Amino acid sequence: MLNRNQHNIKRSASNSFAQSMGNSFRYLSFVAVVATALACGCLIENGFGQDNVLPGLIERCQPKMAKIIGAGIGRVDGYASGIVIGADGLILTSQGVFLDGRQVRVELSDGGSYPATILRRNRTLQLALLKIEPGRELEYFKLSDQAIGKKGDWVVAISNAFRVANQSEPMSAMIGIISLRSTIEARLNDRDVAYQGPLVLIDAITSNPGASGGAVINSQGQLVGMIGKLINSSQTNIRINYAVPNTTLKQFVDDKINEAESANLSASDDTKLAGQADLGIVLFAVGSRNDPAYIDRVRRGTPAAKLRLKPDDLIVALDGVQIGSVQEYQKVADRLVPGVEVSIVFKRGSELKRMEITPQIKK
Amino acid sequence: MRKLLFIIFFFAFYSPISDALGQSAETMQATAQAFRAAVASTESMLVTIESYGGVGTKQGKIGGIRKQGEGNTTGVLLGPDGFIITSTFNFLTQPLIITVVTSDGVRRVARPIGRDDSRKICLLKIEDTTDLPDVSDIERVNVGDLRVGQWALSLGVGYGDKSPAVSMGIISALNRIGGRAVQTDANISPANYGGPLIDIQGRLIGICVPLNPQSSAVAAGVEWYDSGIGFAIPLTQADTLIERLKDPETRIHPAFLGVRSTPNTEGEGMFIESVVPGSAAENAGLEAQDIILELNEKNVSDMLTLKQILNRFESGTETQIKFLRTTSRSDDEQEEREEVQQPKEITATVRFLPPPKPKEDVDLLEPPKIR
Amino acid sequence: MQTLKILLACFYSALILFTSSATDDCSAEQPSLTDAQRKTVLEFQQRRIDAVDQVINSVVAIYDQDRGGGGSGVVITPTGITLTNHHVIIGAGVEGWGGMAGDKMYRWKLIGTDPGGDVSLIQMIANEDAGEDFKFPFTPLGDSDTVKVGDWALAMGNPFILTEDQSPTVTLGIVSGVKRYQSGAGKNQLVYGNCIQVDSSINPGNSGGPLFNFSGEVIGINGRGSFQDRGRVNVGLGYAISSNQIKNFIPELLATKLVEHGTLDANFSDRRGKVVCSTLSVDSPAAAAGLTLGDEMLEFEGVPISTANEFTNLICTLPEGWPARMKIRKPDGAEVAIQLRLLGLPYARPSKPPPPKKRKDSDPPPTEQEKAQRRKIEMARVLSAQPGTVRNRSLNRVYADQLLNLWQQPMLEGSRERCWRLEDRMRYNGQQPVNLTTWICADGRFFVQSETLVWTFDGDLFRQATINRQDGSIPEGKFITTLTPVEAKLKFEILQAIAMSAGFQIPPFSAMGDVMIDGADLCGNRNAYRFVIEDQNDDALYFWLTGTMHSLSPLVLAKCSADLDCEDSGVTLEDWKTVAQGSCALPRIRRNVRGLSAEVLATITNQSITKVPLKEFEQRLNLMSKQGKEPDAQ
Repeated sequence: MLNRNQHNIKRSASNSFAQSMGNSFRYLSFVAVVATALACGCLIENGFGQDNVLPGLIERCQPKMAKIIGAGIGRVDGYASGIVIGADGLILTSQGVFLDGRQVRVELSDGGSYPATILRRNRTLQLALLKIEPGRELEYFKLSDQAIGKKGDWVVAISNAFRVANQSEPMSAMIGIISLRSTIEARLNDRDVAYQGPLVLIDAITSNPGASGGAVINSQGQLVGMIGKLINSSQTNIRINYAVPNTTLKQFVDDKINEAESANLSASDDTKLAGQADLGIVLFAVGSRNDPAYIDRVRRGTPAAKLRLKPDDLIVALDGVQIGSVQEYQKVADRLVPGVEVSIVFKRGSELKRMEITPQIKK
Repeated sequence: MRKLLFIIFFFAFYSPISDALGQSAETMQATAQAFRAAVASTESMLVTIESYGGVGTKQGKIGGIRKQGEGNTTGVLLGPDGFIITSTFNFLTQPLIITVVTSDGVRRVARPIGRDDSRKICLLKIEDTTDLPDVSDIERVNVGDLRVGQWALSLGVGYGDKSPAVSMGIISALNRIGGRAVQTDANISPANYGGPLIDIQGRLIGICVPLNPQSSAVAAGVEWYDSGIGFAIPLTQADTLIERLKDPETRIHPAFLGVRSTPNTEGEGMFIESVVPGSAAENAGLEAQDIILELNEKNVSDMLTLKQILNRFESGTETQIKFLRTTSRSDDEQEEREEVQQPKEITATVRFLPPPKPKEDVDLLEPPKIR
Repeated sequence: MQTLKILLACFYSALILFTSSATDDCSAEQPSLTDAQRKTVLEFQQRRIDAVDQVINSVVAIYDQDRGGGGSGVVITPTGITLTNHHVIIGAGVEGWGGMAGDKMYRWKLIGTDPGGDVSLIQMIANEDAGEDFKFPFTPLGDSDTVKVGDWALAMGNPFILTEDQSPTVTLGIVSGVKRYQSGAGKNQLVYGNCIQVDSSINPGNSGGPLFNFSGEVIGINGRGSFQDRGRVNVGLGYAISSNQIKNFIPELLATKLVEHGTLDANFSDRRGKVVCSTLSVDSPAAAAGLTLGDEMLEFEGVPISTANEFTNLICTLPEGWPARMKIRKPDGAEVAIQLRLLGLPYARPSKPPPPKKRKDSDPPPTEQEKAQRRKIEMARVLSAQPGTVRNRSLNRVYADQLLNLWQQPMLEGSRERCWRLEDRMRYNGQQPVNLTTWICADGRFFVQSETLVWTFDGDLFRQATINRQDGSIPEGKFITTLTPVEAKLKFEILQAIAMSAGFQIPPFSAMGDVMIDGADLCGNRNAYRFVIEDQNDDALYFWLTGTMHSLSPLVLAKCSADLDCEDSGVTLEDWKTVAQGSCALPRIRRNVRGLSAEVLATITNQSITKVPLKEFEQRLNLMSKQGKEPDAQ
């Protein structure tokens, strides 16, 4: 009797076990299929585990690139590169004289050529937004509002430097790394507007004719930025290779910034009282404005006098900015705000001293 | 049982996929991370050099060289005694005052001491050595352990940011510029002259400098900035050199022979068109129309090979020069007519002198007196 | 149930692990590497160092006779055949010095040059004290069609003449573009069509040097760059002639020719999405082959053509005389295949150089100007040679012998004192198959017997005889006739035996004449060397060897006419089988073909190959040379 019961219990237990096994098996198979699908997807994405991920990466970006042809200037053919950022035909490129002509044309990787209208331009950021009617859904780069790419990351710069590629020919690719993410000052030449804003410096040579407007991507194919126009660093006077960061691009595209704002991107907010601050310092001015900022005398009752600054002290830094000349001192001093404390570093003899100083209103 | 087999089968199939697919993307990410790690481990030795005042531009040129930017330059802190190694290029403007900001953000005064114009490097000394960043854990690589094709990263602060800019390249060649420099295709420019060249493991290879084997002018080589042709002075080789440079009086100059040449008319050797008065060549007895055959027991065929040999010496050192005298000098006219003109081979010791200073140059680190 | 839950958990964690394997861990403070990452990075670096080590010794720093100037080159065979740019040779001259790693200097001399594509071939000369077994370090040419944008590329050379110990400068980058076009200079010169664009640093002095992939193969020769206003300094765009283009030219260059590039003498343009013939010379070979204005090009050299630029790029890679194949569509929709030999694109003819001045011993040594003048004259002589003609017959013969030796070497070992009998079935188109037997001997003599005729070659003369129908014996006397080599070539049964036996003669075809390299050709869709043998009647026999300079496939096609395109027949030798314990190869299929289209007229298929004693062969041979004697029993 007992045995049969036990047997029954065992059997029912094994029955339910079998049932639950069946269910779990179906569930497991589902998970397995999904996993395999994901694995294959990533395999394709990463080039089937071949030695080098770059060829597949670059090939997948070509449909998102554009060749921009505009008005020539003198002997120079007006051409640049561009990035597709919207499936309906939104193209991002760099602002330039070549866009001023009557007709601007965009060539895509399939060989199609389309007339473009200029939606928006920003002369401070040197960006332009174009629109074409491609008649089909385009592949495009998504603009993230998070900064993409860290210093040291591999980047590939894709552009039509020197207009080597024509019609449907693929654009040129260069390899490099992100050298620095920085806000640096640079200008094209003395006549041009100074570029101010965050930059992604890279070590691939993107400072070539026709390259501006090209794409800088990371090893996952995400857009790090757009190759900027030819500029020289004010610091080193050499050409710099950089991309306008994707965050700036997104702000521009989303029309979040207008011309006036962008001009003040790195300016301080509080400018109402600029130019009225006085420290009480009179610099030695017999030489040129490029001479070092030596103190000639300190006026009585001024913040400088309170700190006991003396003649022959050399001002080395003010408000965190290195002061190398009388001219540089003047530039910084002019934007100080009365009542707002700033740091001052000066050299006396062979010692460096650092203090805090609060400017007063000029009398 | 079937299900178990299925599970086992899936796992077996699965690992090779993730293995294969991971490899190439992972390599990219691992190397990027390695670049960051190498830079991070060497950041403590970077210094930003700030220069104040100095020679203004004369129509855009200093010393005949187009003025470079006026920004910060780069140097490398060598140790707790406050010596900094950097490039002579960074002092083209002959600054009156030099301050350095070490990696901890502290600004200190520094003064220039020894200088080697043949390698374009010089030393600075920080007076206030309290609490300098610790650089003792940064290793140096021996030149003998370098391999052509290995990674080399250049670092510099010349773009004006506190954080250094890094550029990636490989070691292109060893034994360049008279055996003084290693060559790299990482970006080397005024943005990192004086800064370090490091390997993928964060070990110091050398100091980035502008060099051109055919000219010893202070800015020679800057025309090749960011071109994939760049040079660094390896540091372990330079250790005895650094000791010499610690003496503020040390001025090492390139070796200058003092001959002008036209392409040779004889098969072998380099024909001398004229000899610079007061030069090492004149002191060694060379005259116009002589033909230099060998210098330091190496064949000289033209100015290029001569410069390659000269690059191995500095002024003040000596070596043997072998030349052919084709003319005969005699006050006796009769002797001249009768004598058979036999070229005479002469070997002499030549003691190199520094190159003559270009007119606009002054001793670049002696600041003119003010007030 | 528990175990299942555990397994499920494993799946999930594996899934999560794998999808997140891409992200790396780095703290904001101090980026660190895992041990696995460090290993990956160092292995990747070591692979590159190994790739560099493998090839760096084959790079040459090229100087002129006075060890001045600066260019680069790469040795591609152990015998010292070296590639460089034509514009390096223009600067350096017809001979000079080459430096290789380890501070080694060798003399070099010019073999042949291609001004159109900027490629020259030079010969590095081993030093006098080098031993018999001396071999130059070399790197073989790779397949540039496998190169993709994004592949790593190493350039090596001597930019700015920086090397002091002859070690080259090595620079790293990626392939930036393929099938690029950079227009030329002068008349039809220095055109870089279908070239490889790289961002590995290439500067003046790198010209003529190699572009390598990580497998240690030469994929291109660097020669140009795009430069900016800052001067001739690399800005990330360098251009290399593709290795596959170079392969098309090597036979022409080895033949010591001044090579011209090929042209259809017709232009194609893009018209509404089609590539259409827009200009055509009435007397161009293309017109003669059936091309007319308005025809649409569908394929060229087997590559589908969708833009006119693609066609222009491709034709830049072909030499004059190349049998180009294309598929066109006529306006009525019919698709036609055309094959024709390309015309040459002419260069500007330099003015005739003055004859060399006679020098006496007592003359003063030449001044630098005189030396430069002499170099100019020598170079002008090279450039004013008739393009396509062999400039230096004896040098050509040297390379012909080297190539033939490559082909014969494996065949001749172990084949001495041997004879083979091939039992075949021969079938002319539309006819019944007949039996054919060929005896081939290790010294090149042969004996061919069909059902009615016999032909022999005794090492000296070709003979033919009719077989006695009744008893199958070979008659003597007036039934045996002697043939001239010209007559012999015209008979397929003899031609196939000539072609087979040539492999055993040293030198091959010695009965016919001296072998020379005639140029580059295509055989069975493979690059081939075309050789020519001219006998005293100026009648030519052409034959082809396919393959590279390192391994040549046995004879593929032999033709008996001076005119490559004439309708006279030739023979192809295919399906080679090694016999005699693997040291000798004989073709099992021989076809009689006509013209370029290789229209097959007859096929011989082998049934069996047997080794036979030399005596058996010699008995038969003797029958044919006896005059007026009773034939011996067979």
